[in-house]
Amino acid sequence: MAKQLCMRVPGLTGDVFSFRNYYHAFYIMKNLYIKSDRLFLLKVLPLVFLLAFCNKEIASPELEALVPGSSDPSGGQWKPFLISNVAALNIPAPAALTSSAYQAELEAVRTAQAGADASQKAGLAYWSAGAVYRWQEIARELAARYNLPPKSNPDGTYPAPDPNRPCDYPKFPFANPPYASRAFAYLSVAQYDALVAAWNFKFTFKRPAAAVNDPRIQYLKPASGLPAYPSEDAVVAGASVQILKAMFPCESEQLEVKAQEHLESILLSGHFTRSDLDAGATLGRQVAQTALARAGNDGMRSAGSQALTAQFIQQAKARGLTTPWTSQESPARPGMLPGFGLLIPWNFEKDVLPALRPDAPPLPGSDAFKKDMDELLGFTKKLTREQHRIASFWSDGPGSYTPPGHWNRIAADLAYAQKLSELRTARVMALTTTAVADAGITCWEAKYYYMYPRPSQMDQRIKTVVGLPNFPSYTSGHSTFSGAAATVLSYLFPQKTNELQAMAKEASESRIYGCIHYRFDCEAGLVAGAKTASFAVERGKKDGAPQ
Amino acid sequence: MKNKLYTIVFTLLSFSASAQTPADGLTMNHRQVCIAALYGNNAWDQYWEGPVKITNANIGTVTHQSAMLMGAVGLTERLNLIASLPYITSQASQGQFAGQQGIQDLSLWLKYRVFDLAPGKHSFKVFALGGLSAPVSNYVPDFLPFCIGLGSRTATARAVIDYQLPQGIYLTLRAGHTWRSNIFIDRDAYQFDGKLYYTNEVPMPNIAEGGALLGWRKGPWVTALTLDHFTCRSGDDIRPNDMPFPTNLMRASTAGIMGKYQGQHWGITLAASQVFAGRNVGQSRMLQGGLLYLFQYNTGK
Repeated sequence: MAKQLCMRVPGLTGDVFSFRNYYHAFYIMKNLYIKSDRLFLLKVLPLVFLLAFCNKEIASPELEALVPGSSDPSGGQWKPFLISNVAALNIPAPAALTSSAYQAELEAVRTAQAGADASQKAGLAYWSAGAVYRWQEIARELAARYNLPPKSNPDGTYPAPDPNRPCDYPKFPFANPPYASRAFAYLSVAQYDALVAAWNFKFTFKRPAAAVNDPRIQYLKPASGLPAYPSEDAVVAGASVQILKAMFPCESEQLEVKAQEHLESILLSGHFTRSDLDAGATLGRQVAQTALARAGNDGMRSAGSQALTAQFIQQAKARGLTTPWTSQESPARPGMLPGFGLLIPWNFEKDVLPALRPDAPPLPGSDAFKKDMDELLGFTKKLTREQHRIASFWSDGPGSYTPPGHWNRIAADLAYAQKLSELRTARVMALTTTAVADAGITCWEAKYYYMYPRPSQMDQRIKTVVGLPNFPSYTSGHSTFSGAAATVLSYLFPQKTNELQAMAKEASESRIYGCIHYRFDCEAGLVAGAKTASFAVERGKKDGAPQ
Repeated sequence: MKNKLYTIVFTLLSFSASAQTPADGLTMNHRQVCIAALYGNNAWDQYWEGPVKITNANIGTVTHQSAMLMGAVGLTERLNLIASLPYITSQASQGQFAGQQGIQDLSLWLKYRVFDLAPGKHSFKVFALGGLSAPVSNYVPDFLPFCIGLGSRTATARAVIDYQLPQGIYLTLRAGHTWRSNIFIDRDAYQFDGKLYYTNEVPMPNIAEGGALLGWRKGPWVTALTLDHFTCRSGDDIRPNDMPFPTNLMRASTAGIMGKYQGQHWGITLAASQVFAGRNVGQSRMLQGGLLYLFQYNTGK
């Protein structure tokens, strides 16, 4: 009850310790104050109680509507990742502007705008930040919610999430970093390819926005200057919902509801009529199916096979490894996704992988090994507050959106800050997320090739301030993901190069402070990530977009 | 888990053992001072993940130890000031997680005897208390269950009723509410109640608490059975196989026993208690012992 009361007083939270809150309350009281009212203090007492008993909600930051800086009329000629011939996609021609069908649609928009209440307008404001932006955010939240390793059975074995029974515990999927990187890549590629197709048809059909065709329709979202058919919002909604339903099948119903909310909100914008949205949604779903066809055959299905682990250990031993990685969990848990290094990369051929694999790490017991182990023992003994902060900030462990999610956020925020159009934002996301997914493949290939033991496996004195992941040590996933993301983002946002490289370095160092990686794991990872991402950069340079 | 919360409540209540505390019906006389040096040991291996009680071989038994300095002074006949500051360390008996250590929060209480009746040889007292606490060092507040505190600044309002029979048998009842400030963690994204928040500011649930002491007081001796309960007024549950987080709805019911001998100057205090029901907390076994020193100031006047 107090929660509802609190919501009615905008700006007031329940934080009795926030000076901002008291200032706001004082301001409200000042405005309510009537000099002659002797009972004023008594009347104001409920406000004081509200302050004390409110539920403290942290409000999500409100984002300005996207006003794209470019319309890119030749966007339909940019090179998609998967669709070979954009013009061959099946999309009906739009009805004439003078047709009674279209006129009826315009009337429906007028009616919807006239009847829009505060919560519908709030919904429009939310989606106006950007379709690609918001669906990537949704994907990150799903990754966070599904990022928990299954509990062991009473007999010490571990159950595996079952895609055929995704809502039974352990829920499918376990959205670990490689899984999340793959989900973000498919989402972004589907969004980008669908938007390239949409741009092609927009500038072929050249149907103006609804508000242009009917002066009685207002722009409730700032005008984009783009032709309306098909709607870019609907294209993104259609593509995103199909991909995310496949990646998070237990969320299918809620995702369809979200997509519907998106479309209904955007109908209020004044940009589109129903046929613009329908054509867009159909196009988006169609493109997503192409991406999902690839997903069914990219190697993920067999990536969890433990027969691979035994094979990899044998091969590593044959190469001279005396102390292969073993699980430090109790009970011991099978290594995570030993076959992820066998997936088909996005930006290069599979046979390039061995060239991206770093050289062998130092032999345990060697001088180079002892040097880095001593560094970790030093951090176990003494970790400064700042070092702990860095370890926590970049940890992105269970319950979080994962390191690929962290860089997904950085990429999306950079695109948003630069006011990039939906198409350009999707290109940023597609190049970044596929580079990060490729980095996952490179990294996992190295991890299970070398089967290198973690520091705390080799020395029981090592203590960690972050969770110890259940897979081999060399190379560091954080370092590889970060090196790749920073490389692509530096190409896309050259003025941010120094900042991005510093962030990647810090993300990499955070694993040393956390004492879960040797320095040589991290240095090799950063290099491998940068090398892996160079192929995404090459793709970006040749895809027809302005550089 | 929630030992941090524990330690806040721990320091305030298990000190039903010391000369007088924010949890009991005793007071310092005017110009009387009591200094206490207390050691506490709080250990659990079973904990509640939401409503389900489990153990976790990756941490084994989690132990928090505290060394606390506490002082109480009678400012006037009715008003007492109590202050405390603990140093806390944590460790896990299994696994590779690092323990934490540091100086935790400074607590200040004002205890005011509102009402004081002595019908026959009985005694009936009512106290109103107000307390504030704040972290003194920049410790990490969200590395649960190992962090030494939760990092909130808090404000507590509490009422204590104390009734004693002529033979020395007494009953003390207490109820209170604690408001907690939002905290700032090192990460800038976290999950709360199934939603992802893109900020480092974390809302902390407020706490309702209460308890009872049933015991016997005579001369230098005090002994009692203790019962305590606290609950967060909102919050989410620990997710399956996840680490706890400061937003969790923590709740614990504790039963225990305490004893104290307070001579003219020196005294000794001992207490033991066990959490028997809870949510998102460890099923802690708590032991505490300490030395007390009581003296008057300005007696020459």
